[in-house]
Amino acid sequence: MTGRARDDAGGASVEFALVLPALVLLLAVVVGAAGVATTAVRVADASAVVARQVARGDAASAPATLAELVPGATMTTVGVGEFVCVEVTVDARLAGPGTTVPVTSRGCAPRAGR
Amino acid sequence: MTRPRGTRLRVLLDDTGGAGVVGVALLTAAALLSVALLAAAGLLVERQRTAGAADAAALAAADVLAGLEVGDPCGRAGAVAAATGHRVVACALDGPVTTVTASAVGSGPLVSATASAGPEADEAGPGGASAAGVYGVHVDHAGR
Repeated sequence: MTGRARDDAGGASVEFALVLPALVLLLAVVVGAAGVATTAVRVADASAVVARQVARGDAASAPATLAELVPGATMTTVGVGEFVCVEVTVDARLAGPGTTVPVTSRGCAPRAGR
Repeated sequence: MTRPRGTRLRVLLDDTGGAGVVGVALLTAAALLSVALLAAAGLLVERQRTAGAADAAALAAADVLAGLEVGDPCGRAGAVAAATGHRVVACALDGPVTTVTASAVGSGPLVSATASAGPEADEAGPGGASAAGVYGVHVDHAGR
């Protein structure tokens, strides 16, 4: 009985040692992905706001608005027929340095003041 | 590795292998939970995109009601929403105010957002919207 108890204890420790790194890695990925998702929400919001701003004839101050909403983001403006579409892209950090993923969102608004 | 030699029967009976099952189960549960969390995060992102589309659609419909554009207000809202791959699932007109609910094409009713647009209260005189009215947008976060 004591032998079995000792076997169990050792097995559990080895088990724990094997599983723990995997759990920590998983946790790191989830935390990193949550950060990327937060950035993606801000990028989605910014693309809609900036598209509206450009479509309403205030393209000059759009970069300043974008810099305030999502620091470091870049934007490209595309005219699609009667719409103005703005694609906002920023590199979001997943975990440590060097593990960035590009996050992009497209917002469109109808041209006004024609 | 810690097992005594020559005790084949004990090896068969003891729980060492069982601990492995627990570990696998734990990892599986954690992985499933992570997948669920990531899916929820994806829905939140899509919801923000949909909210932006609903804002733009409601504003466009309000422009028609204010006389800045011609056409059908709700048809205009639909065209604007379609530009970002969304569709209008509800469009209500109340005087100069439009309330539009949009959802992503293909997402079904899982993700939707509602926005209202119209002249600000100060601008909406008895005559309705003034053509130069300032438009306010309100996104209703009660949508799913």
